[in-house]
Amino acid sequence: MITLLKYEFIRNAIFAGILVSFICGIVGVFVILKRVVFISGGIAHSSFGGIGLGYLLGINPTLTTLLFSIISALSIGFISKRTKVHEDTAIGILWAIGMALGIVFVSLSKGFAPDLFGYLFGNILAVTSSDILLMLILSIAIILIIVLFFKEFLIISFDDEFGRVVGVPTEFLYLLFLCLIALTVVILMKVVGIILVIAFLTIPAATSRFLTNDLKKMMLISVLLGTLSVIIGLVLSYNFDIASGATIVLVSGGMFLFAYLFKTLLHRTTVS
Amino acid sequence: MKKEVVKLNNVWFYYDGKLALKEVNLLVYEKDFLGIIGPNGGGKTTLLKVILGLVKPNQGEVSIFNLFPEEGKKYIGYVPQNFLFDQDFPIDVFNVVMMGRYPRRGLINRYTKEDKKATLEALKKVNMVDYKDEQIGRLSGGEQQRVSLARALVNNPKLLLLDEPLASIDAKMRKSFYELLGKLNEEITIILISHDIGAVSTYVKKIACLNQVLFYHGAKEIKKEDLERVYQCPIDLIAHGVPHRVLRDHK
Repeated sequence: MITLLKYEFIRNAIFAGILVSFICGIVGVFVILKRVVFISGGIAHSSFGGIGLGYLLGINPTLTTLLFSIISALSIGFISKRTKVHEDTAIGILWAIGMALGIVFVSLSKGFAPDLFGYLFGNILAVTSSDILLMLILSIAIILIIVLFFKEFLIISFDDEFGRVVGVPTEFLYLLFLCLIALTVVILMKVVGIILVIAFLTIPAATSRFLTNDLKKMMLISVLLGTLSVIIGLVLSYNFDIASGATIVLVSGGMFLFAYLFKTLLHRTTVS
Repeated sequence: MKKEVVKLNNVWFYYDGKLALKEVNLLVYEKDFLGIIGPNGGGKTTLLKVILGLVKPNQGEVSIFNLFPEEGKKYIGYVPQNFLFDQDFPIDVFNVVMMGRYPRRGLINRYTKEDKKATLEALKKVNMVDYKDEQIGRLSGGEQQRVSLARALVNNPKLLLLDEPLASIDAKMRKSFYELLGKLNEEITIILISHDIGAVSTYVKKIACLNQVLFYHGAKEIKKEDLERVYQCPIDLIAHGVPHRVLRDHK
Protein backbone atom coordinates (compact mmCIF):
# COMPACT_ATOMS: atom_id res chain seq x y z
CA MET A 1 0.00 0.00 0.00
CA ILE A 2 2.70 2.51 1.03
CA THR A 3 4.87 1.63 -1.96
CA LEU A 4 1.84 2.06 -4.16
CA LEU A 5 1.44 5.64 -2.99
CA LYS A 6 4.81 6.56 -4.55
CA TYR A 7 3.21 6.64 -7.97
CA GLU A 8 1.36 9.77 -9.01
CA PHE A 9 -1.19 7.79 -11.00
CA ILE A 10 -2.04 5.77 -7.90
CA ARG A 11 -2.43 8.91 -5.81
CA ASN A 12 -4.63 10.39 -8.54
CA ALA A 13 -6.62 7.17 -8.68
CA ILE A 14 -7.26 7.19 -4.94
CA PHE A 15 -8.17 10.86 -4.90
CA ALA A 16 -10.49 10.39 -7.86
CA GLY A 17 -12.04 7.38 -6.14
CA ILE A 18 -12.70 9.35 -2.98
CA LEU A 19 -14.30 12.18 -4.97
CA VAL A 20 -16.48 9.69 -6.79
CA SER A 21 -17.51 8.02 -3.54
CA PHE A 22 -18.34 11.36 -2.03
CA ILE A 23 -20.57 12.42 -4.92
CA CYS A 24 -22.20 9.02 -5.26
CA GLY A 25 -22.81 8.72 -1.57
CA ILE A 26 -24.91 11.84 -1.69
CA VAL A 27 -26.55 11.69 -5.13
CA GLY A 28 -26.95 7.91 -4.93
CA VAL A 29 -29.07 8.11 -1.79
CA PHE A 30 -31.64 10.18 -3.68
CA VAL A 31 -31.28 7.92 -6.73
CA ILE A 32 -32.27 4.98 -4.55
CA LEU A 33 -35.05 6.79 -2.70
CA LYS A 34 -36.53 8.39 -5.81
CA ARG A 35 -36.16 5.06 -7.60
CA VAL A 36 -34.40 6.41 -10.64
CA VAL A 37 -31.70 3.77 -10.87
CA PHE A 38 -32.68 2.85 -14.41
CA ILE A 39 -33.02 6.44 -15.47
CA SER A 40 -29.43 6.83 -14.32
CA GLY A 41 -28.55 3.80 -16.40
CA GLY A 42 -30.28 5.30 -19.42
CA ILE A 43 -28.55 8.65 -19.01
CA ALA A 44 -25.21 6.92 -18.56
CA HIS A 45 -25.50 4.76 -21.65
CA SER A 46 -26.96 7.38 -23.93
CA SER A 47 -24.09 9.71 -23.04
CA PHE A 48 -21.91 7.30 -24.99
CA GLY A 49 -23.12 9.29 -27.98
CA GLY A 50 -21.27 12.26 -26.50
CA ILE A 51 -17.99 10.38 -26.40
CA GLY A 52 -18.36 9.45 -30.07
CA LEU A 53 -19.18 13.03 -30.95
CA GLY A 54 -16.08 14.24 -29.14
CA TYR A 55 -13.91 11.93 -31.22
CA LEU A 56 -15.66 12.94 -34.42
CA LEU A 57 -15.17 16.65 -33.77
CA GLY A 58 -11.71 16.20 -32.34
CA ILE A 59 -12.53 17.98 -29.05
CA ASN A 60 -12.34 16.85 -25.42
CA PRO A 61 -14.99 14.11 -25.09
CA THR A 62 -15.77 15.20 -21.52
CA LEU A 63 -17.39 18.39 -22.86
CA THR A 64 -19.49 16.63 -25.50
CA THR A 65 -20.46 13.95 -23.01
CA LEU A 66 -21.58 16.60 -20.57
CA LEU A 67 -23.79 18.08 -23.27
CA PHE A 68 -25.12 14.69 -24.32
CA SER A 69 -25.90 13.47 -20.83
CA ILE A 70 -27.72 16.68 -19.92
CA ILE A 71 -29.78 16.47 -23.11
CA SER A 72 -30.68 12.84 -22.49
CA ALA A 73 -31.54 13.56 -18.84
CA LEU A 74 -33.87 16.39 -19.83
CA SER A 75 -35.40 14.30 -22.62
CA ILE A 76 -36.16 11.35 -20.36
CA GLY A 77 -37.66 13.67 -17.75
CA PHE A 78 -39.66 15.65 -20.27
CA ILE A 79 -40.96 12.64 -22.18
CA SER A 80 -42.03 10.81 -19.04
CA LYS A 81 -43.70 13.81 -17.40
CA ARG A 82 -45.31 15.53 -20.36
CA THR A 83 -46.15 12.86 -22.91
CA LYS A 84 -48.02 9.60 -22.75
CA VAL A 85 -44.86 7.60 -23.31
CA HIS A 86 -44.00 5.61 -20.19
CA GLU A 87 -40.82 6.43 -18.36
CA ASP A 88 -39.23 3.03 -18.92
CA THR A 89 -40.05 3.24 -22.63
CA ALA A 90 -38.36 6.64 -22.82
CA ILE A 91 -35.33 5.19 -21.04
CA GLY A 92 -35.07 2.26 -23.44
CA ILE A 93 -35.33 4.44 -26.51
CA LEU A 94 -32.76 7.00 -25.40
CA TRP A 95 -30.46 4.30 -24.08
CA ALA A 96 -30.33 2.57 -27.47
CA ILE A 97 -30.23 5.70 -29.61
CA GLY A 98 -27.45 7.27 -27.56
CA MET A 99 -25.24 4.22 -27.84
CA ALA A 100 -25.99 3.80 -31.54
CA LEU A 101 -25.06 7.44 -32.13
CA GLY A 102 -21.81 6.84 -30.28
CA ILE A 103 -20.94 3.92 -32.54
CA VAL A 104 -21.88 5.86 -35.69
CA PHE A 105 -19.84 8.90 -34.64
CA VAL A 106 -16.82 6.78 -33.84
CA SER A 107 -16.97 4.93 -37.16
CA LEU A 108 -17.35 8.25 -38.99
CA SER A 109 -14.24 9.68 -37.38
CA LYS A 110 -11.08 9.03 -39.38
CA GLY A 111 -8.65 8.58 -36.55
CA PHE A 112 -8.14 5.69 -34.19
CA ALA A 113 -9.99 5.96 -30.91
CA PRO A 114 -7.54 4.52 -28.40
CA ASP A 115 -9.27 5.69 -25.19
CA LEU A 116 -12.69 4.39 -26.07
CA PHE A 117 -12.31 1.23 -24.10
CA GLY A 118 -11.38 3.38 -21.14
CA TYR A 119 -14.64 5.29 -21.36
CA LEU A 120 -16.70 2.16 -21.64
CA PHE A 121 -15.16 0.19 -18.84
CA GLY A 122 -13.26 2.90 -17.04
CA ASN A 123 -9.65 3.27 -16.16
CA ILE A 124 -9.14 4.87 -12.81
CA LEU A 125 -5.39 4.51 -13.24
CA ALA A 126 -5.47 6.83 -16.26
CA VAL A 127 -7.00 9.77 -14.39
CA THR A 128 -4.95 12.94 -14.96
CA SER A 129 -4.60 15.99 -12.75
CA SER A 130 -6.77 18.04 -15.11
CA ASP A 131 -9.46 15.35 -14.87
CA ILE A 132 -9.32 15.72 -11.11
CA LEU A 133 -9.67 19.48 -11.34
CA LEU A 134 -12.75 19.12 -13.53
CA MET A 135 -14.18 16.53 -11.15
CA LEU A 136 -13.56 18.83 -8.23
CA ILE A 137 -15.41 21.71 -9.88
CA LEU A 138 -18.35 19.52 -10.83
CA SER A 139 -18.49 17.97 -7.36
CA ILE A 140 -18.71 21.39 -5.77
CA ALA A 141 -21.55 22.30 -8.12
CA ILE A 142 -23.42 19.10 -7.27
CA ILE A 143 -22.94 19.46 -3.52
CA LEU A 144 -24.07 23.09 -3.67
CA ILE A 145 -27.29 22.16 -5.48
CA ILE A 146 -28.03 19.29 -3.09
CA VAL A 147 -27.45 21.48 -0.05
CA LEU A 148 -29.60 24.30 -1.45
CA PHE A 149 -32.51 22.06 -2.43
CA PHE A 150 -32.20 19.38 0.26
CA LYS A 151 -35.60 20.20 1.73
CA GLU A 152 -37.26 20.04 -1.68
CA PHE A 153 -35.50 16.85 -2.82
CA LEU A 154 -36.60 15.22 0.41
CA ILE A 155 -40.22 16.18 -0.24
CA ILE A 156 -40.31 14.99 -3.85
CA SER A 157 -38.58 11.73 -2.94
CA PHE A 158 -40.96 11.09 -0.09
CA ASP A 159 -44.21 12.09 -1.78
CA ASP A 160 -44.21 13.89 -5.12
CA GLU A 161 -47.97 14.40 -5.14
CA PHE A 162 -47.97 16.05 -1.72
CA GLY A 163 -45.14 18.25 -2.94
CA ARG A 164 -47.29 19.43 -5.79
CA VAL A 165 -50.15 20.20 -3.43
CA VAL A 166 -48.02 22.36 -1.14
CA GLY A 167 -46.57 24.20 -4.12
CA VAL A 168 -43.16 22.61 -4.56
CA PRO A 169 -42.07 23.03 -8.22
CA THR A 170 -41.78 19.25 -8.52
CA GLU A 171 -41.20 19.07 -12.25
CA PHE A 172 -38.41 21.62 -12.22
CA LEU A 173 -36.75 19.83 -9.30
CA TYR A 174 -37.10 16.46 -10.97
CA LEU A 175 -35.39 17.74 -14.11
CA LEU A 176 -32.74 19.43 -11.98
CA PHE A 177 -32.11 16.16 -10.19
CA LEU A 178 -31.80 14.27 -13.48
CA CYS A 179 -29.26 16.88 -14.58
CA LEU A 180 -27.37 16.22 -11.35
CA ILE A 181 -27.31 12.55 -12.27
CA ALA A 182 -26.05 13.51 -15.72
CA LEU A 183 -23.23 15.55 -14.15
CA THR A 184 -22.43 12.64 -11.89
CA VAL A 185 -22.30 10.31 -14.87
CA VAL A 186 -19.76 12.52 -16.58
CA ILE A 187 -17.63 12.58 -13.47
CA LEU A 188 -17.80 8.84 -12.96
CA MET A 189 -17.25 7.93 -16.59
CA LYS A 190 -13.50 8.10 -16.53
CA VAL A 191 -13.19 6.36 -13.23
CA VAL A 192 -15.40 3.31 -13.51
CA GLY A 193 -16.75 3.67 -17.04
CA ILE A 194 -20.25 4.11 -18.33
CA ILE A 195 -21.15 0.46 -17.94
CA LEU A 196 -20.39 0.54 -14.25
CA VAL A 197 -21.58 4.05 -13.39
CA ILE A 198 -24.96 2.68 -12.52
CA ALA A 199 -23.37 0.30 -10.05
CA PHE A 200 -21.51 3.05 -8.26
CA LEU A 201 -24.58 5.26 -8.07
CA THR A 202 -26.62 2.39 -6.68
CA ILE A 203 -24.63 -0.06 -4.59
CA PRO A 204 -23.11 2.07 -1.80
CA ALA A 205 -26.41 3.90 -1.20
CA ALA A 206 -28.39 0.66 -1.33
CA THR A 207 -25.97 -0.94 1.11
CA SER A 208 -26.16 1.96 3.54
CA ARG A 209 -29.91 1.57 3.58
CA PHE A 210 -29.56 -1.73 5.35
CA LEU A 211 -27.50 -0.09 8.04
CA THR A 212 -29.44 3.01 9.06
CA ASN A 213 -32.85 4.66 9.03
CA ASP A 214 -31.49 8.18 9.03
CA LEU A 215 -31.11 9.96 5.71
CA LYS A 216 -28.01 11.97 6.60
CA LYS A 217 -26.31 8.96 8.17
CA MET A 218 -27.23 7.01 5.05
CA MET A 219 -25.29 9.54 3.00
CA LEU A 220 -22.32 9.42 5.32
CA ILE A 221 -22.21 5.63 5.39
CA SER A 222 -22.54 5.37 1.66
CA VAL A 223 -19.63 7.81 1.18
CA LEU A 224 -17.51 5.70 3.53
CA LEU A 225 -18.48 2.43 1.85
CA GLY A 226 -17.69 3.86 -1.57
CA THR A 227 -14.27 5.08 -0.45
CA LEU A 228 -13.52 1.78 1.20
CA SER A 229 -14.42 -0.19 -1.90
CA VAL A 230 -12.24 2.07 -4.05
CA ILE A 231 -9.22 1.50 -1.82
CA ILE A 232 -9.76 -2.24 -1.37
CA GLY A 233 -10.53 -2.62 -5.06
CA LEU A 234 -7.38 -0.76 -6.11
CA VAL A 235 -5.16 -2.85 -3.86
CA LEU A 236 -6.74 -6.08 -5.12
CA SER A 237 -6.54 -5.05 -8.76
CA TYR A 238 -2.84 -4.13 -8.34
CA ASN A 239 -1.95 -7.36 -6.57
CA PHE A 240 -3.83 -9.67 -8.89
CA ASP A 241 -3.36 -7.58 -12.02
CA ILE A 242 -7.05 -7.35 -12.89
CA ALA A 243 -9.14 -4.44 -14.25
CA SER A 244 -9.41 -1.78 -11.55
CA GLY A 245 -12.91 -0.40 -12.26
CA ALA A 246 -14.50 -3.82 -12.35
CA THR A 247 -12.69 -4.90 -9.17
CA ILE A 248 -13.92 -1.84 -7.29
CA VAL A 249 -17.49 -2.56 -8.30
CA LEU A 250 -17.22 -6.22 -7.32
CA VAL A 251 -15.88 -5.22 -3.90
CA SER A 252 -18.80 -2.83 -3.56
CA GLY A 253 -21.22 -5.58 -4.61
CA GLY A 254 -19.66 -7.89 -2.02
CA MET A 255 -20.33 -5.28 0.66
CA PHE A 256 -23.95 -5.08 -0.41
CA LEU A 257 -24.35 -8.83 -0.13
CA PHE A 258 -22.63 -8.86 3.24
CA ALA A 259 -24.83 -6.04 4.59
CA TYR A 260 -27.92 -7.75 3.28
CA LEU A 261 -27.06 -11.05 4.95
CA PHE A 262 -26.09 -9.24 8.14
CA LYS A 263 -29.39 -7.39 8.25
CA THR A 264 -31.44 -10.50 7.43
CA LEU A 265 -29.70 -12.59 10.08
CA LEU A 266 -30.04 -9.80 12.63
CA HIS A 267 -33.72 -9.51 11.82
CA ARG A 268 -34.21 -13.28 12.19
CA THR A 269 -32.55 -13.35 15.59
CA THR A 270 -34.56 -10.41 16.89
CA VAL A 271 -37.81 -11.92 15.63
CA SER A 272 -37.26 -15.43 17.00
CA MET B 1 -74.34 34.82 7.59
CA LYS B 2 -72.01 31.89 7.32
CA LYS B 3 -68.82 32.25 5.36
CA GLU B 4 -68.45 30.41 2.08
CA VAL B 5 -65.44 28.13 2.10
CA VAL B 6 -65.71 26.23 -1.17
CA LYS B 7 -67.87 27.32 -4.07
CA LEU B 8 -68.10 25.37 -7.32
CA ASN B 9 -70.33 26.80 -9.99
CA ASN B 10 -71.29 24.63 -12.96
CA VAL B 11 -67.95 22.81 -13.05
CA TRP B 12 -67.22 20.42 -15.92
CA PHE B 13 -64.05 18.44 -16.21
CA TYR B 14 -62.81 16.09 -18.88
CA TYR B 15 -59.98 13.72 -18.07
CA ASP B 16 -58.24 12.53 -21.25
CA GLY B 17 -61.34 13.41 -23.22
CA LYS B 18 -63.53 11.41 -20.85
CA LEU B 19 -66.15 13.16 -18.79
CA ALA B 20 -65.18 13.12 -15.11
CA LEU B 21 -67.26 15.91 -13.59
CA LYS B 22 -70.57 17.07 -15.02
CA GLU B 23 -72.27 20.29 -14.02
CA VAL B 24 -71.04 20.19 -10.47
CA ASN B 25 -72.36 22.80 -8.09
CA LEU B 26 -71.19 22.78 -4.52
CA LEU B 27 -71.34 25.22 -1.69
CA VAL B 28 -69.51 24.43 1.53
CA TYR B 29 -69.82 26.76 4.50
CA GLU B 30 -67.54 27.44 7.40
CA LYS B 31 -67.37 24.57 9.92
CA ASP B 32 -69.23 22.16 7.71
CA PHE B 33 -68.18 18.53 7.92
CA LEU B 34 -69.05 17.22 4.48
CA GLY B 35 -68.68 13.61 3.41
CA ILE B 36 -68.59 13.01 -0.33
CA ILE B 37 -69.33 9.44 -1.28
CA GLY B 38 -69.44 7.75 -4.62
CA PRO B 39 -68.13 4.75 -6.52
CA ASN B 40 -64.50 4.38 -7.49
CA GLY B 41 -63.84 6.23 -10.71
CA GLY B 42 -66.77 8.52 -10.03
CA GLY B 43 -64.63 11.64 -10.03
CA LYS B 44 -64.05 12.04 -6.29
CA THR B 45 -60.29 12.51 -6.52
CA THR B 46 -60.74 14.76 -9.55
CA LEU B 47 -63.07 16.93 -7.50
CA LEU B 48 -60.42 17.21 -4.78
CA LYS B 49 -57.82 18.14 -7.38
CA VAL B 50 -60.12 20.87 -8.69
CA ILE B 51 -60.56 22.25 -5.17
CA LEU B 52 -56.80 22.09 -4.57
CA GLY B 53 -56.18 23.96 -7.82
CA LEU B 54 -54.07 21.09 -9.18
CA VAL B 55 -56.25 20.91 -12.27
CA LYS B 56 -58.34 23.57 -13.93
CA PRO B 57 -61.90 22.67 -14.88
CA ASN B 58 -62.80 22.86 -18.58
CA GLN B 59 -65.79 24.94 -17.66
CA GLY B 60 -67.19 26.59 -14.58
CA GLU B 61 -65.86 28.57 -11.63
CA VAL B 62 -64.12 27.52 -8.48
CA SER B 63 -63.49 29.73 -5.52
CA ILE B 64 -61.88 28.84 -2.22
CA PHE B 65 -62.49 31.37 0.57
CA ASN B 66 -63.63 33.68 -2.25
CA LEU B 67 -60.20 33.40 -3.85
CA PHE B 68 -58.91 31.60 -6.93
CA PRO B 69 -57.84 28.05 -6.01
CA GLU B 70 -54.16 28.89 -6.60
CA GLU B 71 -54.45 31.54 -3.88
CA GLY B 72 -56.98 29.81 -1.68
CA LYS B 73 -55.11 26.53 -1.45
CA LYS B 74 -52.71 27.90 1.13
CA TYR B 75 -55.58 27.70 3.59
CA ILE B 76 -56.13 24.02 2.78
CA GLY B 77 -54.65 21.07 4.61
CA TYR B 78 -54.59 17.94 2.50
CA VAL B 79 -54.56 14.33 3.68
CA PRO B 80 -53.89 12.17 0.62
CA GLN B 81 -55.20 8.69 -0.01
CA ASN B 82 -51.74 7.15 -0.09
CA PHE B 83 -49.44 8.45 2.55
CA LEU B 84 -46.38 6.26 2.73
CA PHE B 85 -45.17 4.74 -0.52
CA ASP B 86 -41.99 3.27 0.84
CA GLN B 87 -42.18 1.75 4.31
CA ASP B 88 -38.39 1.87 4.65
CA PHE B 89 -38.01 5.53 3.76
CA PRO B 90 -35.33 6.88 6.09
CA ILE B 91 -37.18 9.73 7.75
CA ASP B 92 -38.65 10.29 11.18
CA VAL B 93 -42.16 11.44 12.06
CA PHE B 94 -41.06 14.96 12.97
CA ASN B 95 -39.50 15.65 9.58
CA VAL B 96 -42.50 14.24 7.73
CA VAL B 97 -44.83 16.61 9.53
CA MET B 98 -42.52 19.58 9.01
CA MET B 99 -42.85 19.12 5.24
CA GLY B 100 -46.31 20.61 5.62
CA ARG B 101 -44.66 23.95 6.45
CA TYR B 102 -43.22 24.21 2.96
CA PRO B 103 -45.69 26.86 1.75
CA ARG B 104 -44.47 29.22 4.50
CA ARG B 105 -40.85 28.90 3.45
CA GLY B 106 -40.77 28.31 -0.27
CA LEU B 107 -37.77 27.28 -2.34
CA ILE B 108 -34.31 27.03 -0.78
CA ASN B 109 -35.12 28.69 2.57
CA ARG B 110 -34.52 26.49 5.61
CA TYR B 111 -37.18 25.60 8.13
CA THR B 112 -37.15 27.93 11.13
CA LYS B 113 -37.68 27.56 14.88
CA GLU B 114 -41.26 28.62 14.31
CA ASP B 115 -41.71 25.69 11.92
CA LYS B 116 -40.33 23.30 14.52
CA LYS B 117 -42.68 24.70 17.14
CA ALA B 118 -45.64 24.37 14.80
CA THR B 119 -44.60 20.79 14.03
CA LEU B 120 -44.63 19.87 17.71
CA GLU B 121 -48.01 21.53 18.18
CA ALA B 122 -49.49 19.64 15.22
CA LEU B 123 -48.16 16.38 16.64
CA LYS B 124 -49.76 17.24 19.97
CA LYS B 125 -53.11 17.83 18.30
CA VAL B 126 -53.11 14.27 16.94
CA ASN B 127 -51.56 12.74 20.08
CA MET B 128 -48.40 11.64 18.31
CA VAL B 129 -45.78 13.74 20.07
CA ASP B 130 -44.23 10.69 21.74
CA TYR B 131 -43.52 9.19 18.34
CA LYS B 132 -41.72 12.19 16.87
CA ASP B 133 -38.34 10.48 16.55
CA GLU B 134 -39.67 7.16 15.23
CA GLN B 135 -38.96 6.13 11.69
CA ILE B 136 -42.26 6.64 9.89
CA GLY B 137 -42.50 3.10 8.48
CA ARG B 138 -42.43 1.53 11.95
CA LEU B 139 -45.78 3.05 12.85
CA SER B 140 -49.08 1.22 12.40
CA GLY B 141 -51.53 2.24 9.66
CA GLY B 142 -53.63 4.23 12.10
CA GLU B 143 -50.63 6.02 13.57
CA GLN B 144 -49.36 6.88 10.10
CA GLN B 145 -52.77 8.32 9.30
CA ARG B 146 -52.47 10.59 12.33
CA VAL B 147 -49.05 11.74 11.18
CA SER B 148 -50.49 12.46 7.76
CA LEU B 149 -53.20 14.49 9.48
CA ALA B 150 -50.59 16.36 11.53
CA ARG B 151 -48.72 17.20 8.32
CA ALA B 152 -51.93 18.72 6.97
CA LEU B 153 -52.58 20.61 10.23
CA VAL B 154 -49.09 22.01 10.68
CA ASN B 155 -49.83 24.95 8.42
CA ASN B 156 -52.93 25.92 10.44
CA PRO B 157 -55.40 25.31 7.62
CA LYS B 158 -58.98 26.57 7.64
CA LEU B 159 -60.14 23.73 5.44
CA LEU B 160 -59.15 20.09 5.70
CA LEU B 161 -59.47 17.77 2.70
CA LEU B 162 -59.24 14.05 3.28
CA ASP B 163 -59.08 11.52 0.45
CA GLU B 164 -60.20 8.03 1.54
CA PRO B 165 -58.50 8.43 4.91
CA LEU B 166 -59.75 5.18 6.35
CA ALA B 167 -58.88 2.67 3.69
CA SER B 168 -56.17 0.97 5.68
CA ILE B 169 -57.37 1.40 9.24
CA ASP B 170 -59.18 -1.06 11.47
CA ALA B 171 -62.54 -0.25 13.04
CA LYS B 172 -61.24 0.80 16.44
CA MET B 173 -58.68 3.18 14.97
CA ARG B 174 -61.35 4.48 12.65
CA LYS B 175 -63.54 5.51 15.56
CA SER B 176 -60.82 7.43 17.36
CA PHE B 177 -59.73 9.03 14.09
CA TYR B 178 -63.27 10.26 13.47
CA GLU B 179 -63.54 11.54 17.02
CA LEU B 180 -60.36 13.48 16.44
CA LEU B 181 -61.81 14.94 13.22
CA GLY B 182 -64.97 15.83 15.10
CA LYS B 183 -62.91 17.80 17.62
CA LEU B 184 -60.94 19.54 14.88
CA ASN B 185 -64.22 20.39 13.20
CA GLU B 186 -65.00 22.79 16.05
CA GLU B 187 -62.61 25.16 14.33
CA ILE B 188 -61.91 23.80 10.86
CA THR B 189 -64.13 23.04 7.90
CA ILE B 190 -63.71 19.44 6.75
CA ILE B 191 -64.40 17.70 3.45
CA LEU B 192 -63.87 13.95 3.41
CA ILE B 193 -64.27 11.67 0.44
CA SER B 194 -64.82 7.94 0.56
CA HIS B 195 -66.33 5.14 -1.46
CA ASP B 196 -67.61 3.58 1.72
CA ILE B 197 -71.05 4.89 2.67
CA GLY B 198 -71.11 3.15 6.01
CA ALA B 199 -67.75 4.49 7.13
CA VAL B 200 -68.70 8.08 6.48
CA SER B 201 -72.29 8.20 7.59
CA THR B 202 -72.00 8.16 11.35
CA TYR B 203 -69.71 11.09 11.88
CA VAL B 204 -70.14 13.72 9.17
CA LYS B 205 -72.68 16.52 9.33
CA LYS B 206 -73.58 16.56 5.66
CA ILE B 207 -73.37 14.12 2.80
CA ALA B 208 -73.05 14.52 -0.95
CA CYS B 209 -72.97 11.79 -3.60
CA LEU B 210 -70.76 11.98 -6.63
CA ASN B 211 -70.68 10.00 -9.82
CA GLN B 212 -69.75 12.59 -12.42
CA VAL B 213 -72.87 14.42 -11.28
CA LEU B 214 -72.97 15.69 -7.69
CA PHE B 215 -76.08 15.22 -5.59
CA TYR B 216 -76.05 17.53 -2.63
CA HIS B 217 -78.87 19.12 -0.73
CA GLY B 218 -76.84 20.74 2.00
CA ALA B 219 -78.02 18.15 4.47
CA LYS B 220 -77.24 14.74 5.85
CA GLU B 221 -80.06 13.06 4.00
CA ILE B 222 -79.67 11.51 0.64
CA LYS B 223 -82.58 10.38 -1.43
CA LYS B 224 -82.51 6.68 -2.18
CA GLU B 225 -83.05 7.50 -5.88
CA ASP B 226 -79.99 9.75 -5.87
CA LEU B 227 -77.85 7.06 -4.35
CA GLU B 228 -79.07 4.50 -6.81
CA ARG B 229 -78.36 6.84 -9.68
CA VAL B 230 -74.90 7.43 -8.31
CA TYR B 231 -74.06 3.79 -7.83
CA GLN B 232 -76.16 2.68 -10.78
CA CYS B 233 -77.64 -0.26 -8.98
CA PRO B 234 -80.29 -0.70 -6.29
CA ILE B 235 -78.76 -0.14 -2.92
CA ASP B 236 -79.90 -1.82 0.23
CA LEU B 237 -79.67 0.93 2.74
CA ILE B 238 -79.74 0.56 6.44
CA ALA B 239 -82.51 3.07 6.69
CA HIS B 240 -84.36 1.66 9.67
CA GLY B 241 -87.82 2.07 8.28
CA VAL B 242 -87.32 5.46 6.77
CA PRO B 243 -87.30 4.59 3.11
CA HIS B 244 -86.47 7.96 1.62
CA ARG B 245 -84.54 9.56 4.39
CA VAL B 246 -81.50 7.47 4.79
CA LEU B 247 -78.33 7.75 6.78
CA ARG B 248 -79.99 9.85 9.38
CA ASP B 249 -80.25 9.07 13.07
CA HIS B 250 -78.29 5.99 12.30
CA LYS B 251 -76.06 5.07 15.17
